[in-house]
Amino acid sequence: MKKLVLLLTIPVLALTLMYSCKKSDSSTNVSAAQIQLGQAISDTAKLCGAIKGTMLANKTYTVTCDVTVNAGDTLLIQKGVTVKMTNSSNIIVNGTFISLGTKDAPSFITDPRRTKTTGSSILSSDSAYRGGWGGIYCSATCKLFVLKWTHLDFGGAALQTVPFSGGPAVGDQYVVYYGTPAGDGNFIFEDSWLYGCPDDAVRLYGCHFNIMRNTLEKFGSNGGDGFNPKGGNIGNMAYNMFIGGATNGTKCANDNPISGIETKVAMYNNTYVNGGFRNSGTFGARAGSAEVENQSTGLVYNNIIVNCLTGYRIAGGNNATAKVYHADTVNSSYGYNLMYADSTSLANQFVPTNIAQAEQTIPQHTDIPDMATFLHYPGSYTFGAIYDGSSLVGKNNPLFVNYPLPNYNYKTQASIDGYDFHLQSTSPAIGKGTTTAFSPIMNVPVDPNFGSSGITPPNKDLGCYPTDGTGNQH
Amino acid sequence: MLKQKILIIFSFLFLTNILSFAATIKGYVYDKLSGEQLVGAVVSLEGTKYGTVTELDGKFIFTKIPAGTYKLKIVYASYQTLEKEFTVADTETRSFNLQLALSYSTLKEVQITGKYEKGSDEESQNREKNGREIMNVMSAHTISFSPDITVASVLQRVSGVSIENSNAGKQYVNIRGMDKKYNTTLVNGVKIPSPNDRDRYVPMDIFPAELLDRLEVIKSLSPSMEGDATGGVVNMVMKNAPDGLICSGNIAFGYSTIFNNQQFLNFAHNYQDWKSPIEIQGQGTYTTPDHFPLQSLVTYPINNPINTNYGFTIGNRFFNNKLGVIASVSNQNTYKGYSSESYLQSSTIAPAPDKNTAINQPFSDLNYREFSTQSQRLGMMTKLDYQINDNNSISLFATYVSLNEYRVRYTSDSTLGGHPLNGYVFYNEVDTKYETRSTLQDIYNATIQAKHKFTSNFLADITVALSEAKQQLPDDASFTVKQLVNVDSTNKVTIAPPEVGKMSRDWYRNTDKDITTYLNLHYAPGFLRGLSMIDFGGMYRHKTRDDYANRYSLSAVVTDTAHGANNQPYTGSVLNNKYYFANSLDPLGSTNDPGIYTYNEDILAYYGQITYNITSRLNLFGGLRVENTNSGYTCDLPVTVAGKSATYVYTDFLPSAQLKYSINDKSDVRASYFRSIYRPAYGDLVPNTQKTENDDYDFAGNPYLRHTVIDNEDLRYELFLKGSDQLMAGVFNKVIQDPIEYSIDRQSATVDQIQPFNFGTANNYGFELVFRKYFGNFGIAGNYTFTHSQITTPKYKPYIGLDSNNKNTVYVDSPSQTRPLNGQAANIGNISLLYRSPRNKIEAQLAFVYTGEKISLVSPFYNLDLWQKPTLGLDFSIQKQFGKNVTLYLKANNLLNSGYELFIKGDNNHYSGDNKFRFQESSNYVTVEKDFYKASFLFGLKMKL
Repeated sequence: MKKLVLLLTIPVLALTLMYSCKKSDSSTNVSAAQIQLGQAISDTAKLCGAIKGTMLANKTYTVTCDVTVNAGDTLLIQKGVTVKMTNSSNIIVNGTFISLGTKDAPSFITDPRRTKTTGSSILSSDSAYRGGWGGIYCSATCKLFVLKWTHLDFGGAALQTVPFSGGPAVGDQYVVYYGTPAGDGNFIFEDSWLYGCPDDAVRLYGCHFNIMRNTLEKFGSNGGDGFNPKGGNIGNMAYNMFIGGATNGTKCANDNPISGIETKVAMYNNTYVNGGFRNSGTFGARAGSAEVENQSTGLVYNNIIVNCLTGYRIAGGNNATAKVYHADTVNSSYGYNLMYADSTSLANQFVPTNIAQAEQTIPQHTDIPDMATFLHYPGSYTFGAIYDGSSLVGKNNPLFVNYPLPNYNYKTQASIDGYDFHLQSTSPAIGKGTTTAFSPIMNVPVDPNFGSSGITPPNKDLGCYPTDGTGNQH
Repeated sequence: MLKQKILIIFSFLFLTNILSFAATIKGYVYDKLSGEQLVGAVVSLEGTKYGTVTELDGKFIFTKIPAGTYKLKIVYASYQTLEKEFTVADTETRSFNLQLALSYSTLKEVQITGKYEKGSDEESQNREKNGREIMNVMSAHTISFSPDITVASVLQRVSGVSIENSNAGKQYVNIRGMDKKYNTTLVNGVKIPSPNDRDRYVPMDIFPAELLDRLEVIKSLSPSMEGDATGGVVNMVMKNAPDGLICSGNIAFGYSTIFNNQQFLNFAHNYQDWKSPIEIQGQGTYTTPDHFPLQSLVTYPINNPINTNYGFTIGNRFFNNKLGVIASVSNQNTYKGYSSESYLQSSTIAPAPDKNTAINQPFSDLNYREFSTQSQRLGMMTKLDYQINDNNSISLFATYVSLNEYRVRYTSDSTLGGHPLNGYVFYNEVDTKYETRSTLQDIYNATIQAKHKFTSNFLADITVALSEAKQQLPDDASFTVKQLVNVDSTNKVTIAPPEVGKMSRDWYRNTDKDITTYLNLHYAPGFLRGLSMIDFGGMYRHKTRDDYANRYSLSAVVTDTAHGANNQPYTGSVLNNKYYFANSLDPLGSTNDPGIYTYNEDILAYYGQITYNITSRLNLFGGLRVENTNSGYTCDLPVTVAGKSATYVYTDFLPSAQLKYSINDKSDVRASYFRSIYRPAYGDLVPNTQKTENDDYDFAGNPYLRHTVIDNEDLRYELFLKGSDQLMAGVFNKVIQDPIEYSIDRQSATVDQIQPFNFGTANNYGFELVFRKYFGNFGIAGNYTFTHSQITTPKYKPYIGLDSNNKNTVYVDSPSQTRPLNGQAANIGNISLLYRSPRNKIEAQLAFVYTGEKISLVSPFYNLDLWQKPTLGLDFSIQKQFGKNVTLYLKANNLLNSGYELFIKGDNNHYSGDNKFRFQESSNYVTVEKDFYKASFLFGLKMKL
């Protein structure tokens, strides 16, 4: 019954949102009703073992060993809460996890031993990549995960044992692991921040998701992606700001497929900066911004990609070598993405070559620069062909408000620091987006507490900070 | 030696000159215990000039002997001299079958005789024919003649036995076509535990052949034997105390020619710590990278390594021969090497383009590897026996064997890309990995046995045995150097300067301790004619096993930040590498690894069996064994996860009946039935998800496994011709209930992991042929087994179909697939050609071993099983003795250059085109791995001291 209500609510809310977007001058911000579930959790006790109920607003909690939300139970974190995770603890969720920070009072889950650093970030000396606390590991019985306006800082300490069977292995080092093999979970990750982690920030299996308006910095040590959904996931990754990722910001792959549910991700209006330079894993030289692989469907539009190892990549299908095989090239579509590079080796990969991996990225006329014209596609171009991109270096500067380009520190500038990636009014990214070439995915409940705060549709401007202010709110 | 020559010359002269007499005296000489023919025994008619030596089949002949009374005398080193008086008439032909007993006689067996037993059967041809069980025996004498230095190599000469040739070497036995896991290993009749960390089977190459008195391979189970040997049992009987003082030794040297082509690499294993840092510093201590000395990763070549082998045996008998003592030690140091090329299978499989099209196995890397292994074997045994009086005896055996292997593995790993270059798919990265590993295994066993005779027809023996098997891999270390490969638009290749990659430092060890008590009672009743023996008794074993693993992973410190690079250039020496822990918890290692387990197993078994000669031709041997198993494990999984511990209690009733019908003196028919079991491997139970070494698939045990029960039926015809010539043909059927095979469970996990499961009932049936024929100094022996084995298991096949909106989507099918059991080859055979010239003291052997194709790894995916190609091995050995004490030998292995090769059946899209791979042979299958052993020649010198 609840489900039905939710299902009915979705289109209504979506329509409401679509309508409200048209009135872009609106800045009304009415506070949501604050809810409490179950008993309040004591902020004086050291938390360890089974946990349920509500962490109350603006209080500070200390977790001293792994805490587990049992099946049927809920952990609710209200706004302004700080959860200090000590002893590299994990949060294991077999029930429901909800963290409801707000724009004015975000919540924090962090490791008190760590402090953020600015400027040049070196893999082996920046503690951001080492994992402080563990992660949030959600099992098959966790059907709802909601994270809003919450900072996940310094997560990813390696698992010392398995949190539950049939999922993560010892040594896994994700910040959020969410897996519902039945394909029936809902995963909401919105308006939040993630700073520092050693591997994939978020790994998903079998869920509906909305990952929107987040900021990720310093994710992945010598490998790992920002958001890495595997088999049976359908949802949006939009209006996210990525900087200094080891590999991709957004990725999708239908590994461990769930029969009849092919992974499909709408990756739009994201901004990817300085991505892909720390991937030195065995399968090195993967992409560095957005990647669609392994029979998954990607809708890659309206993104800005600056000084990343590669442009967005649609994996090709020799089905013969490497761990990666072809994307669903029938259902995938892409275009209207701006790519900028300060060196030839990066410009040489605006449309990735096949040295590391078979490729099937079709150069697009709608991309900036127009790679279809540049590479003579169709015509003499073959997928993955190696080309000389030196003439593209320094072209199409997106004109960020405060991140002057060229910037040659792209391998080591991995955090936002004082920079501002909003667009200057003269930016070539303004007005170049599409709002019609594809539709965002509407499959999660929309609810101030138990669902998405809103699915922001694609914008006419590129990147995560469109000039109408509807995108990333950070 | 000289005497023998003179005898030969004299007999030759005599025979050619005097032609008028016509009696013929001939016969065969055998080892009394094993029934093996004895070659080169000196046979003479005492007081005459007639003399000869026995031929390869143990045969001797004197022709044209004058009528009269003679004393036949047989002399043979290390055997008791036998004399036999007889009278022969003119034109008469007299035949003898003579059995020599070892002068190393065992403790005088306390013999019992039934009332209706006729006493020892003089005409018996051998133990194999008359044994109640189906058994093959190899004597110490034969073993000492062969150039084999480990029991594993000796075993491949036993009929019906083949040795699994894997990249770890020749280690495991396959008996009558049954995989290693279905066979057990005994020392002096006591089952010994395995040093393996997961499995029950024992590596046979740990045992030096020199300690053995004889080797028995028993191929049919009787109730007095433990019920978990479906294929067969290998029993190593250690040397027995001699009749008088013996003191012998030998020393041998050898060289393997593989090191003409490949460098032998060694490393400083003295830098390896026995314990991991957390054990030294205390649980919970965060270690630092300086606790991992880099010196153990430095490799250096050894030129022309010389294999050595020496042994020494001393024994005597005291107190009026009542107390016998023997002690033997053997030490071997050998060097071996080989190389391999393989494509690494990726676990990420693309869906088929539609439901009816096949899926393909993709490959992510091409690995080229070179191995250098130094093996140090030490074997020691001692036996004491004391004959208290005619009715009581006591003996004590102790055996210790150890095998320390020091291995350097060099891997060049090319990460395959999507770019074709120079005709092959090209790579984008080359990682070079050096791995230094010490694998230290040892097994000891101490057994005390007492025998007591209550009455002339009632005997009891009791045995208490302590055994321990241990394996340790202290500080198994590796480090990687990485190089990125780039190709520009003109196809010019640039390989980036090497960077330091990861370093791993792992500690593993496991021990398995058994204490076992056996009580056997033997009663020869007089109340029923034909019922010659009733045996009954029992066994109790308490087993405890534990396992430890701790792994550390370290990453390269970034030292070059000048150009914004995030790497550490490799200087060419590992000693300059700098490492750190990339994850904050990495300094703790993996001491909480939930895969770490302890296991215990209590087995209480009792049995009764009878030997009943229903008629003079029909013999029944059978009875019932009951085995009660009470076992369980505890692992380090958190209590919040199912399967942290488990207990298993079950009772098996194992009936056995063997009927033998003697058609005549030379032939018989045997029919047998027995039920046997297979208990799951320890590591197959523990449910923790583990990453496998090759990153292929995760592996998880299955705590819900049931043990396997096998019903075995056999029908065989045996024909014993003259001498040791023999022909045996048989058919068999095995019904295997709940076989344990590997598959994937996709329902409950977000990762695909291989797991063992029970799969219904499998059927193995087939036939077997064994023959042996001698022609003077030549002999030919062979055996062949055909096994049809079949099991159906669900597989997994993703494909692309259309959904209700006519859009592409991925579906996952679970088709059933019928295949042979894992590791079961349909065709196994071997043929040996033997030559022995006692006169010239030359011995040679040419041996073919054929193993048909078999599944090496069951893939969870439909039609992607990994098969091992048929192998045809050809080994040749020859040795010549000079004087009394020196033997030169040459052993040529793998003359046909048959390698270990793995492949996947189905269209090979790597045979041509842009995705072409190296070493592909056919468009009909993908060659995944090829190990190049090459022909190797080992030559050496053996000296008896």
